[in-house]
Amino acid sequence: MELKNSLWTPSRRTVLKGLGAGLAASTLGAPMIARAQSAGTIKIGVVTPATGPLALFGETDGWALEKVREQLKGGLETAAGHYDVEFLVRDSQSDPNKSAEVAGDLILNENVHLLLPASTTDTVSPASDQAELNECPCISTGAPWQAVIFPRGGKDAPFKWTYHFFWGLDEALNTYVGLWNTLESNRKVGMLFPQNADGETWGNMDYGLPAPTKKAGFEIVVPGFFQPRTNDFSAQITAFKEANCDIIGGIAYPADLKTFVNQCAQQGYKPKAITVAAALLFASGVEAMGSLGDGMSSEVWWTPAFPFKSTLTGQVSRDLADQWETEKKKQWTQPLGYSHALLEVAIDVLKRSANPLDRAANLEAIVATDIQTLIGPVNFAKGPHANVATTPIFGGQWVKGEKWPYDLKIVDNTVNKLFEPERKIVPLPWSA
Amino acid sequence: MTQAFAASSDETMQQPTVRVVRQTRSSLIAFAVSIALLVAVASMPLWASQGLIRDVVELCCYVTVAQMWNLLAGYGGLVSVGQQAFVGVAAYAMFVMAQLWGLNPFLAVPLSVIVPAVVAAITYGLLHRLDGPYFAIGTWVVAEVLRLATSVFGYVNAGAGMSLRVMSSYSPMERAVGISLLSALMLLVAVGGSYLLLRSRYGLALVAIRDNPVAAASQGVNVGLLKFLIWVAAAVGTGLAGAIYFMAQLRITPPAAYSPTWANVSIFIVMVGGLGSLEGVLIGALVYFVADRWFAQYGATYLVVLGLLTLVMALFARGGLWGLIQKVTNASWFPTRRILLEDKP
Repeated sequence: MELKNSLWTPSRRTVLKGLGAGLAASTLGAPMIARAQSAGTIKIGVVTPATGPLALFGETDGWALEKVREQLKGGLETAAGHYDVEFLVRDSQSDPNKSAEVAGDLILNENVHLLLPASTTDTVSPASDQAELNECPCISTGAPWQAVIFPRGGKDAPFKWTYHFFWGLDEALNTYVGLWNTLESNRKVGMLFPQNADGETWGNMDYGLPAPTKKAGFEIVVPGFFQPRTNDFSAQITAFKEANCDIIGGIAYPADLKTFVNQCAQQGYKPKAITVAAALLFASGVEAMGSLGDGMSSEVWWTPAFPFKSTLTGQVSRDLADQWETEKKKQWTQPLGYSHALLEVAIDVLKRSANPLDRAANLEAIVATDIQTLIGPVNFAKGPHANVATTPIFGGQWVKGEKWPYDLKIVDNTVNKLFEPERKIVPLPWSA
Repeated sequence: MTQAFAASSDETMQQPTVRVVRQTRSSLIAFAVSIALLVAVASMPLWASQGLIRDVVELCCYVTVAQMWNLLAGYGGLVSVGQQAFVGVAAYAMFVMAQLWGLNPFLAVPLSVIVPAVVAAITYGLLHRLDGPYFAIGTWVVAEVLRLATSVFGYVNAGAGMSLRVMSSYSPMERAVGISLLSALMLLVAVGGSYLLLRSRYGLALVAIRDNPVAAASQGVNVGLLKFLIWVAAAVGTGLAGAIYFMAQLRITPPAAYSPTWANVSIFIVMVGGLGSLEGVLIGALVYFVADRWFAQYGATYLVVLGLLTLVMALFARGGLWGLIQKVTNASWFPTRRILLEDKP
């Protein structure tokens, strides 16, 4: 389909032929035919961390957007007619202040019809706040939904303009517990949390990781939270060692986890499993630990093993990952699926909107979203919160790979039974 | 100090053939333009779009923070890289008053400057013993300590930050009026206040301190007190800008509030615009703002270019852009110097 599209030069004759051939039904062919009658240009504002410490997230956002832009070159056929689509991409520089600034600029000066803050709380939350106050429909992803809704004061008072789809912290936590349940251990879990927004959320005694872990019958050890970028974890390691924890769970960034794991090795502490969020998201984080990275486990956002098809390109996850690897000469990363899915949802919303150039109409379309994307179903009506749709999450383990140093394998499906795990979790090699 | 000044003014009185000129034609024009601009900022809701208001408010915040830094470094000889401490505490104070205590946010902004004033007064007790680069590092430490303290302070939602949801209870027009008036007030205090201060005898004393604190003290200037006052005044101005900036941002987290970017931006604006001049700050802020708006969408490379520009300016044009302009035309907008003219009979 793509190939055909690129070879196709639109002349009047081919246009008529195309019409006759029934290509009008196709999302790719149709825009070409009706190019001349575009009812206007839909402006979509995208805020993504293209540079700064969270640039790894922005990398997939930018790439996925390029692909969709190519597809929509000829415009978009919607329920309300044919429109051109313009994406206005702004870099949040991984900085919440910058994110609010560029989002405000997109909403108030560029008058975008839809705002898409792409990933990470530092980009999503400030941009969503701007959208909420300035009345612009907004769809975001790429951060656990509680971290986006609760700190913004949305726990009891739902938002009107801002919608978020992602898995929830509770589901991630249950995935962790599910993972640990399948592992033979003394059921003692040491917890590792940083002193920041993520640590506060994950480490919360009421709704953070400690709650479901205790409930599942594990004993927990929570030493003091560590300062991000610290170079000394001895306080934590001593506490874990004294309590003889077989499992380490929590959240840490790659540099911190590397320090932690190295110091565990130096101090002779060898737990059977280390399951942490954030640091193990990217293969680069695992590779940074060298051979110690083998067997680390984490939650899984998305892998090429996901069986769902894209509504935009018809690709399955494996195709998208392969395309990324061929073009970028790099291993696929987990946010890639979400970068693509966000655009799937946005385009689906515009297609259904009564008037894509009207913010209120787009909002109505967002609320009614019910779509099966590359990363799974997205439906805001069924979410646990008025502004949230939850997406599937699995438990995964990094193992030595074939094409790349490490591969992420799905080892647990406790929370979402959408498909079977690829294999069973194995204890860390050093504990054997 | 008083005696020293009194003596010099007596001398002027005794020799009527010489007079001190402090106002020039260009400064009178600039004064009129400034008043017009100030009125324009205050009346923005009547003529500007929401987006323009937002941009102008942001620009006003940059001008103010940079002006305060200029006052410290360019006149007080206090090089601080921790001004974000005051941005952060004032902004947090505003969020607490408006979001948690239910105070009118537009009233919370001017009230919030009490906090940076207190913080400045307390921290100066520690910092005044440090000099030059040690002082700079000390200010940074203060800012970091405040950031860390805020990120473990549960009352302000610790590291997770807060959103200013109360703003949605005001109509867009009310918000525009409120923030425009506050911005105009801020400009008046920051630029107008600095101008008045520098033209007063305290301004003269400040310049003396910057050039040589020991010599200034020997002339009767109370160096310690004056440095303290300028430190607190700059904290108040910086805090006001912080509160207004975060009112427009709607969301605050410790890393955002205490972001070292504030120090970087101030240094850039003042160094490129022109250290030790009020005009330079305005020019520098405009350069930064335009660069940020035009080039930010092409990635962060422009920040590298801005950094290099600062370096080039510091090495080859220490007076900044304003210094270069002054070489061509000596038409000062905000003259703080005293020009001695001899009247020929």
